[in-house]
Amino acid sequence: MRLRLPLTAAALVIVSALAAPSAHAGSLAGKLELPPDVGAPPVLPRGYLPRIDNPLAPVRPLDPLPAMVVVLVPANPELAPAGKPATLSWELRGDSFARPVVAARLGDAIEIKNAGRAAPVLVAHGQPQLLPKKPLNPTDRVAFTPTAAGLVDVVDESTPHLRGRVLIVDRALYALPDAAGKFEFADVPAGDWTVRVFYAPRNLARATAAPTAAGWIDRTDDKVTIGAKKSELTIKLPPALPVKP
Amino acid sequence: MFWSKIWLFLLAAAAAIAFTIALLLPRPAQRARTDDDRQRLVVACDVVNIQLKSAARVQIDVASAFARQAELVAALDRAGGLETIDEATSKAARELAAQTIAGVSGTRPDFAILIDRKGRVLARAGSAGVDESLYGDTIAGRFLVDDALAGYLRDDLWQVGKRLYRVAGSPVIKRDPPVTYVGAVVVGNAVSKQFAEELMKPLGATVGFYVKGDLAISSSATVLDREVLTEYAKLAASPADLDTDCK
Repeated sequence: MRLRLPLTAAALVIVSALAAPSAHAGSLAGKLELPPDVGAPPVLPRGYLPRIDNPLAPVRPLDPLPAMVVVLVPANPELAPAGKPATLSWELRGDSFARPVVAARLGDAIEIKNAGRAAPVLVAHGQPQLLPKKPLNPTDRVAFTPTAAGLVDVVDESTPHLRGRVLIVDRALYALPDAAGKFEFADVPAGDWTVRVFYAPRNLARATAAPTAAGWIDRTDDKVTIGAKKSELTIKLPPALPVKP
Repeated sequence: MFWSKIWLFLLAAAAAIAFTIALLLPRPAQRARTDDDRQRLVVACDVVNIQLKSAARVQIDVASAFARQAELVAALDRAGGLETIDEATSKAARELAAQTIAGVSGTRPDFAILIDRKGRVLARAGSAGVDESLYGDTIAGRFLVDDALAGYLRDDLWQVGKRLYRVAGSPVIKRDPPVTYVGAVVVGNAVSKQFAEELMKPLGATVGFYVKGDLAISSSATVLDREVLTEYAKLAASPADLDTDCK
Protein backbone atom coordinates (compact mmCIF):
# COMPACT_ATOMS: atom_id res chain seq x y z
CA MET A 1 0.00 0.00 0.00
CA ARG A 2 2.85 2.32 0.80
CA LEU A 3 4.47 1.62 -2.52
CA ARG A 4 1.34 2.06 -4.70
CA LEU A 5 1.08 5.86 -4.42
CA PRO A 6 4.70 6.67 -5.35
CA LEU A 7 4.51 4.17 -8.24
CA THR A 8 1.29 5.71 -9.57
CA ALA A 9 2.80 9.19 -9.28
CA ALA A 10 5.93 8.06 -11.11
CA ALA A 11 3.83 6.49 -13.88
CA LEU A 12 1.81 9.69 -14.28
CA VAL A 13 4.98 11.75 -14.53
CA ILE A 14 6.35 9.42 -17.23
CA VAL A 15 3.07 9.46 -19.21
CA SER A 16 2.76 13.23 -19.05
CA ALA A 17 6.40 13.61 -20.07
CA LEU A 18 5.77 11.43 -23.14
CA ALA A 19 2.52 13.16 -24.09
CA ALA A 20 3.76 16.72 -23.78
CA PRO A 21 5.73 18.26 -26.65
CA SER A 22 9.46 18.42 -26.18
CA ALA A 23 10.39 21.17 -23.79
CA HIS A 24 12.89 22.39 -26.37
CA ALA A 25 10.53 22.40 -29.33
CA GLY A 26 10.01 25.81 -30.86
CA SER A 27 8.29 27.28 -33.85
CA LEU A 28 9.22 29.25 -36.92
CA ALA A 29 7.00 31.74 -38.67
CA GLY A 30 7.97 33.69 -41.72
CA LYS A 31 7.10 35.31 -44.96
CA LEU A 32 8.27 34.89 -48.52
CA GLU A 33 9.02 38.28 -50.00
CA LEU A 34 8.65 38.21 -53.77
CA PRO A 35 10.91 40.33 -55.98
CA PRO A 36 9.33 43.63 -57.08
CA ASP A 37 8.68 42.48 -60.63
CA VAL A 38 7.78 38.81 -60.94
CA GLY A 39 6.73 39.33 -64.53
CA ALA A 40 3.71 38.27 -66.52
CA PRO A 41 2.10 34.83 -66.30
CA PRO A 42 3.84 32.27 -68.53
CA VAL A 43 2.91 32.23 -72.19
CA LEU A 44 0.46 29.36 -72.51
CA PRO A 45 -0.18 27.33 -75.66
CA ARG A 46 -2.24 29.56 -77.90
CA GLY A 47 -4.89 29.36 -80.57
CA TYR A 48 -4.54 31.30 -83.80
CA LEU A 49 -3.56 34.62 -82.26
CA PRO A 50 -1.14 35.59 -79.51
CA ARG A 51 -2.87 36.73 -76.32
CA ILE A 52 -3.73 40.43 -76.09
CA ASP A 53 -3.58 42.67 -73.00
CA ASN A 54 -7.02 44.02 -72.12
CA PRO A 55 -7.32 47.80 -72.44
CA LEU A 56 -9.14 48.39 -69.15
CA ALA A 57 -6.81 47.24 -66.38
CA PRO A 58 -3.20 46.14 -65.96
CA VAL A 59 -2.75 42.44 -66.54
CA ARG A 60 -2.31 40.48 -63.32
CA PRO A 61 1.29 39.53 -62.62
CA LEU A 62 2.36 35.95 -62.12
CA ASP A 63 1.50 34.57 -58.68
CA PRO A 64 4.26 32.05 -57.93
CA LEU A 65 3.34 31.47 -54.26
CA PRO A 66 0.96 28.51 -54.82
CA ALA A 67 3.83 26.82 -56.64
CA MET A 68 6.25 27.14 -53.71
CA VAL A 69 7.06 24.98 -50.72
CA VAL A 70 9.18 26.10 -47.76
CA VAL A 71 11.33 23.26 -46.47
CA LEU A 72 13.17 23.11 -43.15
CA VAL A 73 16.22 20.85 -43.34
CA PRO A 74 17.94 19.90 -40.07
CA ALA A 75 21.70 20.24 -39.71
CA ASN A 76 21.55 16.88 -37.95
CA PRO A 77 19.21 14.48 -39.83
CA GLU A 78 18.29 12.86 -36.53
CA LEU A 79 16.51 16.07 -35.57
CA ALA A 80 13.70 15.56 -38.08
CA PRO A 81 10.80 14.01 -36.20
CA ALA A 82 9.82 10.61 -37.56
CA GLY A 83 6.04 10.70 -37.34
CA LYS A 84 3.59 8.07 -38.49
CA PRO A 85 2.85 8.04 -42.22
CA ALA A 86 -0.11 10.27 -42.96
CA THR A 87 -2.50 10.64 -45.85
CA LEU A 88 -2.53 13.94 -47.67
CA SER A 89 -5.79 14.83 -49.39
CA TRP A 90 -5.43 16.64 -52.71
CA GLU A 91 -8.60 17.85 -54.38
CA LEU A 92 -8.97 17.82 -58.15
CA ARG A 93 -11.44 20.57 -58.98
CA GLY A 94 -12.47 20.03 -62.58
CA ASP A 95 -9.70 21.28 -64.82
CA SER A 96 -7.14 22.00 -62.12
CA PHE A 97 -6.06 20.92 -58.67
CA ALA A 98 -7.15 22.98 -55.66
CA ARG A 99 -3.45 23.74 -55.19
CA PRO A 100 -1.06 23.19 -58.09
CA VAL A 101 1.87 22.13 -55.90
CA VAL A 102 1.61 20.23 -52.63
CA ALA A 103 4.17 18.53 -50.44
CA ALA A 104 4.34 15.38 -48.37
CA ARG A 105 6.90 13.46 -46.36
CA LEU A 106 8.42 10.29 -47.74
CA GLY A 107 6.15 7.48 -46.63
CA ASP A 108 3.00 9.60 -46.65
CA ALA A 109 0.19 8.65 -49.01
CA ILE A 110 -1.29 11.24 -51.37
CA GLU A 111 -4.98 10.79 -51.99
CA ILE A 112 -6.45 12.54 -55.03
CA LYS A 113 -10.17 13.21 -54.73
CA ASN A 114 -11.99 13.99 -57.95
CA ALA A 115 -14.42 16.80 -57.17
CA GLY A 116 -14.93 17.60 -60.86
CA ARG A 117 -17.25 16.20 -63.50
CA ALA A 118 -14.74 14.66 -65.87
CA ALA A 119 -12.88 11.36 -65.57
CA PRO A 120 -9.20 12.11 -66.27
CA VAL A 121 -6.59 9.39 -66.58
CA LEU A 122 -3.89 10.60 -64.20
CA VAL A 123 -0.40 9.19 -64.36
CA ALA A 124 2.86 10.03 -62.59
CA HIS A 125 5.35 11.13 -65.23
CA GLY A 126 8.29 8.75 -65.37
CA GLN A 127 6.88 6.59 -62.55
CA PRO A 128 4.14 4.48 -64.18
CA GLN A 129 3.95 2.15 -61.18
CA LEU A 130 2.69 4.91 -58.84
CA LEU A 131 -0.77 5.51 -60.25
CA PRO A 132 -3.02 2.96 -61.94
CA LYS A 133 -3.64 4.05 -65.53
CA LYS A 134 -7.42 4.18 -65.50
CA PRO A 135 -10.06 6.92 -65.45
CA LEU A 136 -10.67 8.60 -62.12
CA ASN A 137 -14.43 8.99 -62.10
CA PRO A 138 -16.20 11.93 -60.45
CA THR A 139 -16.26 11.64 -56.62
CA ASP A 140 -13.75 8.76 -56.80
CA ARG A 141 -10.42 8.81 -54.98
CA VAL A 142 -7.07 7.33 -55.81
CA ALA A 143 -4.06 7.15 -53.47
CA PHE A 144 -0.41 6.65 -54.16
CA THR A 145 2.69 6.46 -51.97
CA PRO A 146 5.90 7.77 -53.51
CA THR A 147 8.94 5.64 -52.81
CA ALA A 148 11.62 8.30 -53.17
CA ALA A 149 12.10 11.94 -52.29
CA GLY A 150 11.81 14.46 -55.12
CA LEU A 151 9.15 15.87 -57.37
CA VAL A 152 6.28 13.76 -58.66
CA ASP A 153 4.56 15.17 -61.74
CA VAL A 154 0.95 14.11 -62.06
CA VAL A 155 -0.38 14.54 -65.59
CA ASP A 156 -3.57 13.77 -67.45
CA GLU A 157 -2.53 12.29 -70.76
CA SER A 158 -5.76 13.22 -72.49
CA THR A 159 -5.66 16.98 -71.81
CA PRO A 160 -2.83 19.44 -72.33
CA HIS A 161 -3.53 21.48 -69.21
CA LEU A 162 -4.36 19.21 -66.26
CA ARG A 163 -1.10 18.97 -64.34
CA GLY A 164 -0.14 18.82 -60.66
CA ARG A 165 3.13 18.52 -58.79
CA VAL A 166 3.97 16.91 -55.44
CA LEU A 167 7.23 17.54 -53.61
CA ILE A 168 8.28 14.59 -51.48
CA VAL A 169 10.67 15.51 -48.67
CA ASP A 170 12.74 13.09 -46.61
CA ARG A 171 13.99 13.90 -43.11
CA ALA A 172 12.75 17.46 -43.31
CA LEU A 173 9.74 19.58 -42.46
CA TYR A 174 7.69 21.54 -44.95
CA ALA A 175 5.11 24.34 -45.03
CA LEU A 176 3.00 25.75 -47.84
CA PRO A 177 2.89 29.56 -48.01
CA ASP A 178 -0.52 31.27 -47.97
CA ALA A 179 -1.70 33.88 -50.48
CA ALA A 180 0.34 36.56 -48.70
CA GLY A 181 3.46 34.39 -48.62
CA LYS A 182 3.22 33.66 -44.89
CA PHE A 183 4.22 30.24 -43.58
CA GLU A 184 4.58 28.63 -40.18
CA PHE A 185 6.28 25.58 -38.71
CA ALA A 186 5.00 24.47 -35.31
CA ASP A 187 6.74 22.05 -32.95
CA VAL A 188 10.15 22.23 -34.51
CA PRO A 189 12.78 20.35 -32.46
CA ALA A 190 15.41 22.68 -31.07
CA GLY A 191 18.60 22.86 -33.08
CA ASP A 192 20.09 24.23 -36.26
CA TRP A 193 18.05 24.18 -39.42
CA THR A 194 18.35 25.42 -42.99
CA VAL A 195 15.39 27.05 -44.69
CA ARG A 196 15.07 26.30 -48.40
CA VAL A 197 12.38 27.26 -50.87
CA PHE A 198 11.27 24.86 -53.59
CA TYR A 199 9.63 26.32 -56.69
CA ALA A 200 7.75 24.18 -59.19
CA PRO A 201 6.33 26.45 -61.91
CA ARG A 202 3.37 25.29 -63.96
CA ASN A 203 4.22 22.21 -65.97
CA LEU A 204 3.47 23.19 -69.55
CA ALA A 205 5.11 20.18 -71.17
CA ARG A 206 3.21 17.61 -73.16
CA ALA A 207 2.17 14.58 -71.13
CA THR A 208 4.97 12.38 -72.39
CA ALA A 209 7.66 15.09 -72.55
CA ALA A 210 10.05 16.10 -69.79
CA PRO A 211 8.16 18.34 -67.34
CA THR A 212 8.92 22.05 -66.96
CA ALA A 213 12.03 22.55 -64.84
CA ALA A 214 11.55 22.90 -61.08
CA GLY A 215 13.94 23.02 -58.16
CA TRP A 216 15.28 24.88 -55.16
CA ILE A 217 15.35 28.63 -55.53
CA ASP A 218 18.92 29.64 -56.21
CA ARG A 219 19.82 31.82 -53.23
CA THR A 220 21.85 31.69 -50.05
CA ASP A 221 19.75 29.51 -47.80
CA ASP A 222 18.84 30.93 -44.38
CA LYS A 223 20.24 29.18 -41.30
CA VAL A 224 18.10 29.34 -38.20
CA THR A 225 18.54 28.09 -34.70
CA ILE A 226 15.30 26.98 -33.17
CA GLY A 227 14.96 27.39 -29.45
CA ALA A 228 12.07 27.56 -27.05
CA LYS A 229 10.95 30.93 -28.38
CA LYS A 230 9.10 31.54 -31.60
CA SER A 231 11.53 32.45 -34.37
CA GLU A 232 10.60 34.77 -37.22
CA LEU A 233 12.11 35.02 -40.67
CA THR A 234 11.58 36.99 -43.86
CA ILE A 235 12.90 35.31 -46.96
CA LYS A 236 13.72 37.62 -49.84
CA LEU A 237 13.44 35.81 -53.14
CA PRO A 238 15.74 36.78 -56.02
CA PRO A 239 14.48 38.36 -59.26
CA ALA A 240 13.28 35.92 -61.95
CA LEU A 241 13.15 33.16 -59.30
CA PRO A 242 15.97 31.04 -60.70
CA VAL A 243 15.97 27.41 -59.64
CA LYS A 244 18.68 24.77 -59.26
CA PRO A 245 18.17 21.01 -59.04
CA MET B 1 30.92 -12.02 -135.07
CA PHE B 2 32.38 -11.90 -131.60
CA TRP B 3 32.63 -8.05 -131.69
CA SER B 4 29.06 -7.69 -132.90
CA LYS B 5 27.83 -9.58 -129.78
CA ILE B 6 29.81 -7.23 -127.51
CA TRP B 7 28.44 -4.22 -129.34
CA LEU B 8 24.93 -5.56 -129.02
CA PHE B 9 25.40 -6.08 -125.28
CA LEU B 10 26.90 -2.60 -124.75
CA LEU B 11 24.17 -1.02 -126.80
CA ALA B 12 21.47 -2.84 -124.81
CA ALA B 13 23.07 -1.88 -121.47
CA ALA B 14 23.36 1.78 -122.48
CA ALA B 15 19.76 1.78 -123.63
CA ALA B 16 18.62 0.24 -120.34
CA ILE B 17 20.54 2.86 -118.32
CA ALA B 18 19.19 5.69 -120.44
CA PHE B 19 15.65 4.35 -120.11
CA THR B 20 15.98 4.06 -116.33
CA ILE B 21 17.32 7.61 -116.04
CA ALA B 22 14.53 8.88 -118.24
CA LEU B 23 11.97 7.15 -116.02
CA LEU B 24 13.51 8.37 -112.77
CA LEU B 25 14.03 11.98 -113.73
CA PRO B 26 10.90 14.11 -113.35
CA ARG B 27 9.84 15.29 -116.71
CA PRO B 28 9.76 19.05 -117.17
CA ALA B 29 5.98 19.12 -117.50
CA GLN B 30 5.47 16.99 -114.42
CA ARG B 31 8.01 19.02 -112.48
CA ALA B 32 6.28 22.21 -113.45
CA ARG B 33 2.95 20.79 -112.36
CA THR B 34 4.38 19.61 -109.01
CA ASP B 35 5.84 23.06 -108.40
CA ASP B 36 2.56 24.64 -109.34
CA ASP B 37 0.64 22.37 -106.93
CA ARG B 38 3.11 23.11 -104.16
CA GLN B 39 2.75 26.83 -104.74
CA ARG B 40 -1.04 26.58 -104.71
CA LEU B 41 -0.85 24.65 -101.45
CA VAL B 42 1.40 27.27 -99.87
CA VAL B 43 -0.97 30.05 -100.95
CA ALA B 44 -4.02 28.11 -99.73
CA CYS B 45 -2.34 27.40 -96.40
CA ASP B 46 -1.38 31.06 -95.95
CA VAL B 47 -4.85 32.26 -96.86
CA VAL B 48 -6.50 29.75 -94.50
CA ASN B 49 -4.24 30.89 -91.67
CA ILE B 50 -5.10 34.52 -92.37
CA GLN B 51 -8.80 33.71 -92.42
CA LEU B 52 -8.62 31.69 -89.22
CA LYS B 53 -6.77 34.53 -87.50
CA SER B 54 -9.33 36.99 -88.78
CA ALA B 55 -12.18 34.79 -87.52
CA ALA B 56 -10.42 34.50 -84.14
CA ARG B 57 -10.10 38.27 -83.94
CA VAL B 58 -13.82 38.70 -84.64
CA GLN B 59 -14.61 36.16 -81.95
CA ILE B 60 -12.35 37.90 -79.44
CA ASP B 61 -14.20 41.14 -80.16
CA VAL B 62 -17.49 39.37 -79.46
CA ALA B 63 -16.15 38.01 -76.15
CA SER B 64 -14.85 41.46 -75.25
CA ALA B 65 -18.22 43.09 -75.99
CA PHE B 66 -19.91 40.34 -73.98
CA ALA B 67 -17.62 41.05 -71.01
CA ARG B 68 -18.54 44.74 -70.98
CA GLN B 69 -22.25 44.15 -70.25
CA ALA B 70 -22.87 45.96 -66.98
CA GLU B 71 -25.42 43.40 -65.70
CA LEU B 72 -23.06 40.57 -66.45
CA VAL B 73 -20.23 42.31 -64.60
CA ALA B 74 -22.48 42.77 -61.57
CA ALA B 75 -23.65 39.13 -61.67
CA LEU B 76 -20.09 37.81 -61.75
CA ASP B 77 -19.00 40.21 -59.02
CA ARG B 78 -21.76 38.89 -56.76
CA ALA B 79 -21.05 35.23 -57.64
CA GLY B 80 -17.38 35.60 -56.71
CA GLY B 81 -18.37 36.38 -53.14
CA LEU B 82 -20.58 33.31 -52.76
CA GLU B 83 -19.41 30.18 -50.99
CA THR B 84 -21.35 28.04 -53.45
CA ILE B 85 -23.28 29.06 -56.53
CA ASP B 86 -26.99 28.32 -56.16
CA GLU B 87 -29.43 27.40 -58.89
CA ALA B 88 -31.39 30.67 -58.82
CA THR B 89 -28.22 32.74 -59.24
CA SER B 90 -27.04 30.51 -62.07
CA LYS B 91 -30.42 30.60 -63.81
CA ALA B 92 -30.55 34.39 -63.71
CA ALA B 93 -27.05 34.58 -65.15
CA ARG B 94 -27.90 32.00 -67.82
CA GLU B 95 -30.87 34.09 -68.98
CA LEU B 96 -28.63 37.14 -69.09
CA ALA B 97 -26.06 35.27 -71.19
CA ALA B 98 -28.78 33.96 -73.53
CA GLN B 99 -30.08 37.50 -74.05
CA THR B 100 -26.58 38.73 -74.76
CA ILE B 101 -26.03 35.95 -77.32
CA ALA B 102 -29.32 36.86 -79.00
CA GLY B 103 -28.22 40.48 -79.20
CA VAL B 104 -24.99 39.73 -81.08
CA SER B 105 -25.11 40.97 -84.65
CA GLY B 106 -23.37 38.86 -87.27
CA THR B 107 -22.20 35.36 -86.38
CA ARG B 108 -23.69 34.57 -83.01
CA PRO B 109 -21.78 32.36 -80.59
CA ASP B 110 -23.09 28.82 -80.21
CA PHE B 111 -22.45 29.09 -76.52
CA ALA B 112 -21.22 31.38 -73.76
CA ILE B 113 -19.76 30.44 -70.38
CA LEU B 114 -19.63 32.88 -67.48
CA ILE B 115 -16.82 32.23 -65.01
CA ASP B 116 -16.38 33.93 -61.64
CA ARG B 117 -13.04 35.14 -60.24
CA LYS B 118 -12.48 31.78 -58.52
CA GLY B 119 -12.65 29.99 -61.86
CA ARG B 120 -16.10 28.48 -61.22
CA VAL B 121 -18.79 28.35 -63.87
CA LEU B 122 -21.61 30.70 -62.96
CA ALA B 123 -23.68 29.76 -66.00
CA ARG B 124 -23.58 28.13 -69.41
CA ALA B 125 -25.90 29.24 -72.18
CA GLY B 126 -26.23 28.32 -75.81
CA SER B 127 -27.66 26.08 -78.46
CA ALA B 128 -24.72 23.66 -78.74
CA GLY B 129 -21.49 22.70 -77.05
CA VAL B 130 -22.68 23.17 -73.47
CA ASP B 131 -25.05 21.57 -71.00
CA GLU B 132 -27.04 24.51 -69.69
CA SER B 133 -28.02 22.67 -66.52
CA LEU B 134 -24.42 22.46 -65.28
CA TYR B 135 -22.87 25.16 -63.11
CA GLY B 136 -20.54 25.54 -60.15
CA ASP B 137 -17.74 23.39 -61.57
CA THR B 138 -14.22 24.76 -61.87
CA ILE B 139 -12.79 25.25 -65.34
CA ALA B 140 -9.82 27.34 -64.27
CA GLY B 141 -6.79 25.44 -65.44
CA ARG B 142 -7.70 25.55 -69.10
CA PHE B 143 -5.20 27.75 -70.86
CA LEU B 144 -7.78 30.14 -72.27
CA VAL B 145 -9.62 30.50 -68.95
CA ASP B 146 -6.42 31.12 -66.96
CA ASP B 147 -5.29 33.75 -69.44
CA ALA B 148 -8.70 35.45 -69.37
CA LEU B 149 -8.75 35.48 -65.55
CA ALA B 150 -5.27 37.02 -65.63
CA GLY B 151 -6.45 39.80 -67.93
CA TYR B 152 -5.74 38.61 -71.45
CA LEU B 153 -7.99 38.35 -74.47
CA ARG B 154 -7.27 35.26 -76.56
CA ASP B 155 -8.63 32.41 -78.65
CA ASP B 156 -8.26 28.64 -78.62
CA LEU B 157 -9.78 25.40 -79.87
CA TRP B 158 -11.73 23.12 -77.56
CA GLN B 159 -13.00 19.64 -78.21
CA VAL B 160 -16.43 19.11 -76.73
CA GLY B 161 -17.66 15.57 -77.21
CA LYS B 162 -16.71 14.74 -80.77
CA ARG B 163 -17.03 18.30 -82.03
CA LEU B 164 -14.42 20.98 -82.33
CA TYR B 165 -15.17 24.54 -81.19
CA ARG B 166 -13.37 27.79 -81.84
CA VAL B 167 -13.46 29.65 -78.54
CA ALA B 168 -12.46 33.11 -77.38
CA GLY B 169 -12.10 34.44 -73.86
CA SER B 170 -12.11 37.84 -72.26
CA PRO B 171 -11.59 39.04 -68.70
CA VAL B 172 -14.59 40.65 -67.02
CA ILE B 173 -13.56 43.82 -65.25
CA LYS B 174 -15.52 45.99 -62.85
CA ARG B 175 -14.65 49.48 -63.98
CA ASP B 176 -16.09 51.39 -61.04
CA PRO B 177 -13.26 52.20 -58.64
CA PRO B 178 -11.58 50.19 -57.39
CA VAL B 179 -11.10 48.54 -60.77
CA THR B 180 -11.14 44.78 -60.17
CA TYR B 181 -11.19 41.56 -62.09
CA VAL B 182 -14.47 39.78 -61.38
CA GLY B 183 -14.24 36.84 -63.77
CA ALA B 184 -14.11 35.84 -67.40
CA VAL B 185 -16.38 35.03 -70.29
CA VAL B 186 -15.85 32.40 -72.97
CA VAL B 187 -17.76 32.31 -76.25
CA GLY B 188 -17.62 29.41 -78.67
CA ASN B 189 -18.57 28.57 -82.25
CA ALA B 190 -18.60 25.07 -83.69
CA VAL B 191 -16.13 24.34 -86.46
CA SER B 192 -18.85 23.31 -88.86
CA LYS B 193 -18.85 22.10 -92.46
CA GLN B 194 -20.26 25.49 -93.44
CA PHE B 195 -17.36 27.25 -91.72
CA ALA B 196 -14.85 24.97 -93.48
CA GLU B 197 -16.51 25.55 -96.87
CA GLU B 198 -16.54 29.31 -96.40
CA LEU B 199 -12.85 29.24 -95.58
CA MET B 200 -12.07 27.50 -98.85
CA LYS B 201 -14.59 29.28 -101.09
CA PRO B 202 -12.08 31.69 -102.69
CA LEU B 203 -9.41 29.02 -103.10
CA GLY B 204 -11.01 26.01 -104.68
CA ALA B 205 -9.11 23.76 -102.28
CA THR B 206 -10.11 21.50 -99.42
CA VAL B 207 -9.55 21.96 -95.70
CA GLY B 208 -9.97 19.41 -92.92
CA PHE B 209 -9.78 19.85 -89.16
CA TYR B 210 -8.24 16.92 -87.32
CA VAL B 211 -8.38 16.28 -83.59
CA LYS B 212 -5.87 13.78 -82.20
CA GLY B 213 -5.51 12.26 -85.65
CA ASP B 214 -9.22 11.92 -86.34
CA LEU B 215 -11.10 14.02 -88.84
CA ALA B 216 -13.48 16.37 -87.02
CA ILE B 217 -14.83 18.25 -90.03
CA SER B 218 -13.87 18.77 -93.65
CA SER B 219 -14.98 21.00 -96.49
CA SER B 220 -15.13 17.92 -98.73
CA ALA B 221 -15.28 14.15 -98.45
CA THR B 222 -11.51 13.92 -99.03
CA VAL B 223 -9.63 12.36 -96.12
CA LEU B 224 -5.90 12.58 -95.62
CA ASP B 225 -3.89 9.38 -95.83
CA ARG B 226 -2.86 7.94 -92.46
CA GLU B 227 0.79 8.25 -93.58
CA VAL B 228 0.41 12.00 -94.04
CA LEU B 229 -1.07 12.32 -90.55
CA THR B 230 1.74 10.25 -89.09
CA GLU B 231 4.30 12.54 -90.69
CA TYR B 232 2.39 15.60 -89.45
CA ALA B 233 2.32 14.19 -85.91
CA LYS B 234 6.12 14.03 -85.98
CA LEU B 235 6.29 17.69 -86.99
CA ALA B 236 3.62 18.75 -84.50
CA ALA B 237 5.60 17.22 -81.63
CA SER B 238 8.09 20.06 -81.97
CA PRO B 239 6.53 23.46 -81.40
CA ALA B 240 6.30 25.10 -84.79
CA ASP B 241 5.09 28.59 -85.32
CA LEU B 242 1.76 28.76 -87.04
CA ASP B 243 3.05 31.60 -89.16
CA THR B 244 5.65 29.39 -90.81
CA ASP B 245 3.92 26.04 -90.96
CA CYS B 246 2.88 26.63 -94.55
CA LYS B 247 6.47 26.88 -95.78
